[in-house]
Amino acid sequence: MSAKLFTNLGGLFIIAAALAAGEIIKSLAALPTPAPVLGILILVGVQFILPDFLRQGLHRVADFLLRHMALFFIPALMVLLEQGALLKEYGLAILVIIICGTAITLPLMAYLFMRLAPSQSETPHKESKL
Amino acid sequence: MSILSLPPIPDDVGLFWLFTTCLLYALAVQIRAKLGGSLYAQPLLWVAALLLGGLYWADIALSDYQKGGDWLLLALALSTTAIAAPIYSNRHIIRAAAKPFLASLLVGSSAAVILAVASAYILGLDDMITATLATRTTTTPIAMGLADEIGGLPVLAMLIAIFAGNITVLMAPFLFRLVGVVDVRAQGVALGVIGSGIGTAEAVRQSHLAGSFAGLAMGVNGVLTGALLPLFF
Repeated sequence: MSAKLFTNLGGLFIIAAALAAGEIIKSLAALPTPAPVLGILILVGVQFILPDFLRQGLHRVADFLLRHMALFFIPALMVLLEQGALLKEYGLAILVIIICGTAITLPLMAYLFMRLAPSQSETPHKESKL
Repeated sequence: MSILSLPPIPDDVGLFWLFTTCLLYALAVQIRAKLGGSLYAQPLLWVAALLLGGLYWADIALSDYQKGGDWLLLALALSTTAIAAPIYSNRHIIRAAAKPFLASLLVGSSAAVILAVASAYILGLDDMITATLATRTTTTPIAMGLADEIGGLPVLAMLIAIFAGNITVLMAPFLFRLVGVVDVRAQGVALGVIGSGIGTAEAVRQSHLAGSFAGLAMGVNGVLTGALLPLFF
């Protein structure tokens, strides 16, 4: 049980280190790319050299973080406390634009992928549980 | 929000609201499970609405709430980075679908930006709002930096990213059924680009395969949009 705890902490540390590395590279190279995106690229690379037990810990922590991503968006919405005027003026127009855009682009993308991709049953289906 | 300069330890008020946020979220997740995972029981929207009401009623300043909330925003950056895990697990399936993945992403992402900018122009919105709308397909942390760079409003970009994500998640089941797409890879790519962070979170909730396509699509789209959009504004 405690071994699991330690590998989970190790996993969390690796994710944090990848994000930190992303921030350092971003500021050193003055890239416009956001740090989490650089962090994703680094973390994918790191997993190729990670020992199995650490990768399992990493995947348990990642699973938890991803499952509860909605929680982490809540503070971002709290800015509505101070942005009422902005939304009153532009909210409706923005809402209409988003709904229309979504109605066109979401099915377009999914349909395009489906037409171009070999059907899923032809590819060896081995989805890994994290 | 930077992991290199951690936010200060929250005081009593910050801790109280941080704890309340997590508790309400946990309750909302239970309620959604009771309702059979209904899309209308989005914990994010209901909890945010309750908290907004609570903060307004108790006359709490946004800055006091954010003393605790900043830690959750740090976790948002961490969980965005964590998408690397399912991407790694499903790397073979993703590589096999590289061509449709890129085609769908390039067409969808540029169509979304062009549609948003064109309709903003038709409705006669001013340049600042139009520029902000152009960041619509990028996830929250990306959208804010990008909006700043091309003359939009970072706060509005953040709100647009979240609401666009929620609207996408609500409309998705109907739209996918309309064009008869059941392939979770196709659904993932579309959700990751058009719904960005929230779309990816929903895709992860449905299956890890959809989640990895969504996460990768969100990441690649973020990099491309972030690099290309400043050239047009």
